[in-house]
Amino acid sequence: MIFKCKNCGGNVVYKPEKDVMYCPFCDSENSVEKTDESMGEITVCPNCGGEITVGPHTSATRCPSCDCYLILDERVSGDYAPRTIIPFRISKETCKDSLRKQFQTYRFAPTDFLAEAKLNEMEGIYVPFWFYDYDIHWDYQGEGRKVRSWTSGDTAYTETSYYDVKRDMDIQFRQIPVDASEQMPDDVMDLVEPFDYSQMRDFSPEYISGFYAEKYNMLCNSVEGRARKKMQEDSEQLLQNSYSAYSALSTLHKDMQIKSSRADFGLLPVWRYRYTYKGQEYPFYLNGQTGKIVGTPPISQGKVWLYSGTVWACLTALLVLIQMIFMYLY
Amino acid sequence: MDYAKETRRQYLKYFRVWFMILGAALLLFLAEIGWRGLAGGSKERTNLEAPAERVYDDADVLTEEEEQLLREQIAKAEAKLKMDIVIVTINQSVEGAEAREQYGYDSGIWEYNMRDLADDFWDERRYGYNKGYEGDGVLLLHNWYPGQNGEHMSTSGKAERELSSSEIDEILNVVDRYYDSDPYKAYSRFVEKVESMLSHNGTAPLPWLLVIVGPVVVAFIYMLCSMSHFKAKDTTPVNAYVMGGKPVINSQSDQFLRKNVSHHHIDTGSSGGSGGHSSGGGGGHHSSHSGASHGGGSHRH
Repeated sequence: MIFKCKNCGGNVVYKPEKDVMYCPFCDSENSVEKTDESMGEITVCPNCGGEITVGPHTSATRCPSCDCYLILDERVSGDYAPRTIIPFRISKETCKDSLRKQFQTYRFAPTDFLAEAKLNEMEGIYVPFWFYDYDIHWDYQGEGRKVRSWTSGDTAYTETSYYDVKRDMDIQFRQIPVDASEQMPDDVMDLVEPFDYSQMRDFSPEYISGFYAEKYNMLCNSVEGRARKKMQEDSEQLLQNSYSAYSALSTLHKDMQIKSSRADFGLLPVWRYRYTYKGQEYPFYLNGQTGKIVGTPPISQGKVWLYSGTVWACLTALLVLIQMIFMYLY
Repeated sequence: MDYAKETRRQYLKYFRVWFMILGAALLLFLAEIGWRGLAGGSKERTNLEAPAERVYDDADVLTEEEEQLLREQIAKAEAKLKMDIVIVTINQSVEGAEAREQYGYDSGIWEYNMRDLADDFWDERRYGYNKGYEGDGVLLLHNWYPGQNGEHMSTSGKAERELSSSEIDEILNVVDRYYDSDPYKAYSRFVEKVESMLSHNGTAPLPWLLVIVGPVVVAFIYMLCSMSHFKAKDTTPVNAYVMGGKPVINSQSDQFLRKNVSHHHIDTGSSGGSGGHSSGGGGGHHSSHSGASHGGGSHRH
């Protein structure tokens, strides 16, 4: 499907800062109409007839000929219909500014790293995520120790008190996100978190007009292990927090039970800037909602030597000058 | 966009303060050298009031020839140091009632009178390389009066500022070493010592090893610091996906079981105090009868 403007027929896109559908051709807002033509597996743009290459998992893309954003109906409906979506909240311009702000002090990054032309290649992607819910139960018993020390005169005292510690608690995890995309690196997607779920909405295709998107291409069961690991780490930590008053504990009984679990599919917004330096790609990912940056800029060896060499030369020259002034003028 | 040009612009902008400081320092240095070159390579003597004589051998311990040699040596040293060097030998009592009556001294103390004699000798003849009052230079007054043998060194102007009491002592020690056997040698070594103590030419304030190694170390640290990578942190709180933000506690208990107390004796060793002392700079500052500031020190044999 393509979202078009009622007024001018241009491609209408979702505008993150204003949370509206916007026509960049005639500047009108909410003048959207959906074309009825159903788009399944396509190789030509239904808007201009230009040839397009669509990846096997792509659900929304841009026509390189007419810049029109296309949504592949079959990949956002039926089995692939996302239940929820967090729409983009920050625009490309805001992302460019925050990248510049973050890396402007990186003297050794290549000069064109933050160039406008390069940053304009940044693309907004709705990444498919599975969200897992778990209801778990902890049953814990241990012997806790509290140690108190004091000094009286020239004698030091250490008092150790022992307690029988019991904890019985439930933890309800909701929507632990795990990306369902093969092309997105797992560790990076974990670092892009957290997302603010209060802005989560029921899915509607309007939100992805103007962006790239993927359908899930990793099955719910195949990535569930990552969600379970996150849940186990967090629940372990929460249990430990409940007895953090003790300086040491000996565990006598510890049991965690998963009472129920469930999964849902949704889309989360991520900006991606792919910078290539000397044949190697340096990808940057920004949380499309909060702007959090994940990525490491490349280092220009030439700059490292130039700047460090100049620091060395300036210091040496200054010290030699001081020596000369004292040797010859005083 | 021309990235090479942009790289150059960023580089110059980043180091502009460094380049400006270095450029200014270099210009000043060259200007000073140039000015000195134009001025004949050395500062001319500006005090024309003082007599040309530098050696007053009233105690007659030097031969004419030795006096002449000393005058030549002093002339060379003065040209180098831009300071006057005067040697005076006397043979008169400067101590006790006899001295007070005979010469009208304020005090009967040897040190005071030697000091006053030396300072007044300098002030009255208006010695000093650059000016006739508080000008730069040193004077050695050696008293050969039996039982009161000893010398006083009076410093003025730049010499007063630069020589500390211990340095004056060091110079007078040279005289002490030779005066008995060979007075000429004692005074000649005195001039040499003054020359070496007040001459900074050729001595660098910083060790050359530091000048060579220091910048390498700093540049290396700068390189390491600037290369440190930006790393995104895990900012997801532990309760981010927990409903209500915390676990539901069904029951919890912390029941006291027992306690035990252990104790041990602490060894308290006595702590030793340490005292410090500080040493001062320029030596023996005082004012002479004419009100001029002098430094100096005496050695009595």
